[in-house]
Amino acid sequence: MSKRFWYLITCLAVISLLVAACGPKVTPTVEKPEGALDCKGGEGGEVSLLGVWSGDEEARLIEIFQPLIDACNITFTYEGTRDLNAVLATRVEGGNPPDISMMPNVGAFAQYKANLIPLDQLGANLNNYSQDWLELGTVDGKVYGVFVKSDVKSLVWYSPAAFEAGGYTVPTTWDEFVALVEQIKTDGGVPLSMGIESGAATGWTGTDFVQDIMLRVKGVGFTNGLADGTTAWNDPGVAEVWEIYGKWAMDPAYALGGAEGTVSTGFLDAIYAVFADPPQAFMVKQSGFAGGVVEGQYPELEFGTDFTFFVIPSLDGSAPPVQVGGDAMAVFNDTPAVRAVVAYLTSEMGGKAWAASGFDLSPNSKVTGADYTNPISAAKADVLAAASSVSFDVGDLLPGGMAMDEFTAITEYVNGGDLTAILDRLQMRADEVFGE
Amino acid sequence: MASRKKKKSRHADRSVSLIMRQGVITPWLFILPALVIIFVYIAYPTVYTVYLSLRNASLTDWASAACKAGQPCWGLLENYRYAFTSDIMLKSFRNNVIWLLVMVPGVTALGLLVAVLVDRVRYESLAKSLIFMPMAISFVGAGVIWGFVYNFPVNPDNPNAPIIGLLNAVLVGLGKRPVPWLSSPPLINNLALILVGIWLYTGFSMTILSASIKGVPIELLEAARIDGANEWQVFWKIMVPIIMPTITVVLTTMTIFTLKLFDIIYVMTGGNFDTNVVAVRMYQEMYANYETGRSAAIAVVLLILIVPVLIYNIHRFREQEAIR
Repeated sequence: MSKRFWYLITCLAVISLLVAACGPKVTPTVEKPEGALDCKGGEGGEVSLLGVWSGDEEARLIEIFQPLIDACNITFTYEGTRDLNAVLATRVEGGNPPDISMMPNVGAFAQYKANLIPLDQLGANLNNYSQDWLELGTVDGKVYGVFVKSDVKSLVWYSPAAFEAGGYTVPTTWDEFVALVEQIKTDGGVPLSMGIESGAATGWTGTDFVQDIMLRVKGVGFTNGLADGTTAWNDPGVAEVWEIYGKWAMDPAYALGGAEGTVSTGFLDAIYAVFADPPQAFMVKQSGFAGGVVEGQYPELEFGTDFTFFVIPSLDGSAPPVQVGGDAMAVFNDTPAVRAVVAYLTSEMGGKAWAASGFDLSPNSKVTGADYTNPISAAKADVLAAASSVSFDVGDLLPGGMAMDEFTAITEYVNGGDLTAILDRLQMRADEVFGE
Repeated sequence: MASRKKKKSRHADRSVSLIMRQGVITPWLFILPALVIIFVYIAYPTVYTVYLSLRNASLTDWASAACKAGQPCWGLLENYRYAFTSDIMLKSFRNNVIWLLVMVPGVTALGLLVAVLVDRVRYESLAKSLIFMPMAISFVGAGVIWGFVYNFPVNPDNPNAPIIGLLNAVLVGLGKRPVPWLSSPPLINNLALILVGIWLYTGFSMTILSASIKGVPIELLEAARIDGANEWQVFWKIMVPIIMPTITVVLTTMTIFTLKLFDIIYVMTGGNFDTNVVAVRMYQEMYANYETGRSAAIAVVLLILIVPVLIYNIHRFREQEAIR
C-alpha cells in the first residue's frame, strides 16, 4: 500500500515538474524606466486592488506595477471580478473597501464620494492629465478618480483581404459607410456582425454603436446631453438614431442572424465571425480591445494585412468624433504604500509603463505615440490624436447605474419591443436619477 | 416542559433532583448561543431591511421624499408602490408565477414517477444516482451547461456553419431552422429555463419520495392486490395517501426554492427577454441601479411571500414527527 502511495507521489511530482518546465518563463517584459521612484515611505507595504480584469489583463497590470514592486517592495493583492458593482458595494457597506478600485463607471464616483479620498491629497500627478479627463473624475470640485486606461470605441474591424476580394473600399464619409453596408448586402454578403450578448450586461455593444451613430448624425452636443439630462431620451432625434441601428441589427440581410442573432450572439463570437474561415460577415463595430481578441483567437492573422480597423467616418469626411471608455483609479484608504501607487501610476513613468504593456491606451498626457510598442495600440493612439472631439461613453457617465437600463432597453428593442414605449421608460428613469 | 420535569423529580432521588432542577436562568443559558446567532443573522437584518425599505435610494431621507406632485404616491410605502405596481416588477411576479405553476408540480410529479418506477427495477441505485447527479452541480454551472444546450448559432442561415447548441444542432439535423431558445417570445424561453430547474431538482424530490415509498408497509399493498385492486388503484388509493405528508414537504420546499429563484435567470438571460424574476430584480435594484430602498422593499415582499409557506412546512413536519 505505502509502496503504491510513494509511486503515485513520485509520478505526480514528475508530472508537475514537466508542466512547470513547459510553462512560459515568468519574466517581466517591461524594462525598468529610468528615473527615481518615490516610495513615499511605503516600502514593504501592502495594497489591495479591485478591478474587472482577469487572466492576461491581470498579468499586464502586475507587469505595469513591476518597477514599483522592485523599488518599494510593495505587495499587491489583486481581486478581479466582472461583478465589480456588487463586490464593491458590499465591501464598502461592510467597512472593508479595497485600498484602490479600478472603476469603469464614472457614476460610481458620485456614489462613493463619502468613502473616497480626493486624489490631490494623496499626491497624484494630476497635471499629467488634460482637463477633460480630470473633469470626468471630479465630483463637487474634488478629483476622486483619475483615468489610468482608456480605449477607443468608434472602430469598425474588418479584413482588408476580404474587402479587396469584394472590391470594397474603406468609407470616408458617413454616407459612404451606409452605402458600403447596402452594397455588401446587394452583393449577397452579410455586412455586419452585431452580437450584443454579454451575460447580465447584454446590450452594451449595442449602446456603444448607437452612441457612435448619434455622435455623427445628431452631433456631439446632442449626444452628450443624454449624459447630463439636457437631451431627453424620448426626443425624436434619439428614436431616429435607434432606428438606423435597429434597421441593421434586426435584419438578417444586414446583420448576422438578424434580430435573433444579434441578441443571442456573444460580443466575442461576433468578433470571431468576421475573421473566421470562411468569414461569416464583413465588418464588426467594436472597441479597440477587439484587436487583442482577434490576435488571441487567430494567432496566425497579422494586424494590418489580415485584420485592421477604420474609424466610423464623420458626416462630411472631416476628422471624426471619437467615443472613448476608460478605467479610473479611485482610492478608499490612505496609506504610504497607496500614495506610492497613486504617484507612480499618474507619473510619466507609470503612464509610459502602461503604454508599453500594450494594455490599451494611457490617458496620461506625457505619453506619446512613440511609447506604444504594440502596433495596434499605436494605431489606436493615432485615432485618438486625430479625433475632432472625444466623448465618453454615455452609459458610463449616467448616474444611478442607468447604464444597465440602457443595455436592457436596446436588447428589448432589437428583440421586437416597441421603441416609443422603451424610450419613454428610459426618460422616466432619467427623471428619477437626475431628480435625486 | 418545565412543569413536567418538576413532577418527575418528586419521585426521584433527592440529590439527583437538585442537580436536575432547572432554574429560571439555566434554560436561557443553553439557548443563548442560538439566540445570539438568530439575532445577529436573522432578526437584526430583517428589521434593518424593513427599515431600509422605507428609505429612499441613497438612504438620505424617507421614501416619501421621492414622490412627485401629481403622480401616485404611497407615502412612506413608496418603494412598495414600485414593488407592486411597476411594469418591470409585475412582469417579474408573472414569471415567478409561471415558475411556480410549472416547476413545482413538474419536479414533484417527475420525482414521484421516477421514484415509483425505479422501485421496481434491479438497477435502482444506478438509475437514482444518474437522476440525482445534477444536484451535485451548482446552479451557475447548470446555467452555463444549459446555455450551451440552448446556444443559438452565430450564422443561423448557413446550415454548414458550426453549431455549438445541442438542441439547435438537432433541429438543423432535421432540416429545420434553429430557434433562439432564450430570446424567444416569453412563454417559450421561460419554459426553456424552467426545464433547467426541473433537471436540477428532480433528483432531490425523487430521493425524498423514494425513501417515503420504501416506508409504505408492503402488507398493505399486498392486501390491496389480493382484494383485486389494480396497480393504478394501489398507487392512487394506497401509496399516495400514505406518502402525502412527504409530497407536501416536497411541494412546499420547491415553492420556497422557486420564489427565491435567482442563479439560473441571472446566468442564462440576465433577466432580459421578459424572463426576469423577483429575486434577480432585487439584486439589480441594489447593485445595478443603486436603489437600496426599492431593493429592500422587494426583499421584504419576498420574505412575506415565503414565511407562510415556511410556517406551513414546519407545521406539517411537526405533525409528521408526532405520528412517529
